[in-house]
Amino acid sequence: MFKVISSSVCKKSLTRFSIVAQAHTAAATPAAAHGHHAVTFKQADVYPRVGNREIVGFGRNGEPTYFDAPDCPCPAVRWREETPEIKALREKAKGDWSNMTVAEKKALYRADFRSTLSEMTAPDGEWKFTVGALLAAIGASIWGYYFFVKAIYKSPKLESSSAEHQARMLERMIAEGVGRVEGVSSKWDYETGTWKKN
Amino acid sequence: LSVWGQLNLQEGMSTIMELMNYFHDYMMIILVLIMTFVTYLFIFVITSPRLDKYTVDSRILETVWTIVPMVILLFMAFPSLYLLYLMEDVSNPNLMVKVVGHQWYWEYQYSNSWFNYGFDSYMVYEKSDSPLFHSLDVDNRLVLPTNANILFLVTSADVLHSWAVPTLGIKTDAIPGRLNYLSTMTPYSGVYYGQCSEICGSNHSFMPIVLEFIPMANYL
Repeated sequence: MFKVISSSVCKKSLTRFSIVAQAHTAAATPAAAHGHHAVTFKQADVYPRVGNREIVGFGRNGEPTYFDAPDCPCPAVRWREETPEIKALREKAKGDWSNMTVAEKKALYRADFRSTLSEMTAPDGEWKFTVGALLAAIGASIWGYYFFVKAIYKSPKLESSSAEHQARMLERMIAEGVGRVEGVSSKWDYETGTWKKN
Repeated sequence: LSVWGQLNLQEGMSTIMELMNYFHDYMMIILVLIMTFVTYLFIFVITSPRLDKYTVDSRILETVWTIVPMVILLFMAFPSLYLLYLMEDVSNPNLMVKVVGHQWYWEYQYSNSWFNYGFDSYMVYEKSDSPLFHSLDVDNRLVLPTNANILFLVTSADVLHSWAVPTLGIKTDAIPGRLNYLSTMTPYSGVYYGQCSEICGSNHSFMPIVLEFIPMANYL
């Protein structure tokens, strides 16, 4: 669907591939992307990300990058560079697959992909570190609070925050009718001078 | 006056403040509904396995999420504007009181064609054995009648102050060189408290406002 072309003039610098939407062509290879001759192993140094790996598709955004993602299972490049053994296996895979052993099929898979879908989604235990760090932070905060209360906050308590003072304030609030419709005075029975029963 | 642990608005002792409390409850319902819906969408987007990551636009969705908030805003705007204009209505005041802010006390003046009386209202500092409200009591309260339209003209003699009584739903800035007006009417007799609401110096927290409403028969 997309043809990968080189956008840089300088061939020896890091070449950044840019995507141009064109008519459907075969999957581009570094050879086709480069334009003229095949990529040798030495020239793989020029393409530090791709190397000798074949570009096999669009991937997530057209960049020739390998990634493992369960929601987009087909990366843009193969995982491993092509070796003669892998090349031979690929030729064999063009025939009948029942002639291949399980180990060969697995080798082909591992040449194209780094991990399987179940390996990608397997639990990794990172939550243990997160919970531990959170509990450690909470513990440190509690220790800090204890230190502040015991060593730094030493002012005397206000008389106005005592229970007796608050009771006198409440008595005055009721006498002045604070909250007489829905608030505190509405719960006071002015006839009998006590709190209402219900 | 607020009681301990009070989170909501003070009870409305004037008609305007009662309407403001109703309006506040009405708006709170709408806001809670919106917040619930948005929270649900948030959780759905994060946890749903059926979300399409490659959606780029949708005209119908954009039309719907423009029209629906517009309708919600209309439902919020109409009562709001109605209440706003109701607050501004000042018609046939029975009594006019001038309020002058000073650093750091309030001066009240009653005056009409045959009567002129003014006094200062200073905060009373709390003593340990007397049950005063902390930084709310004054030596001279402003005494007013119930069931009367009262017009307050608020100004300042030095710096910016703000005259506020939350339970009556009134607040206005006291600006030197300018007269701001307020109108209120309450059918309930009682004592209502407020505090200066614009920073005005070191004793800004210690210039409270106390209104004492008494029945009209006792007032005259």
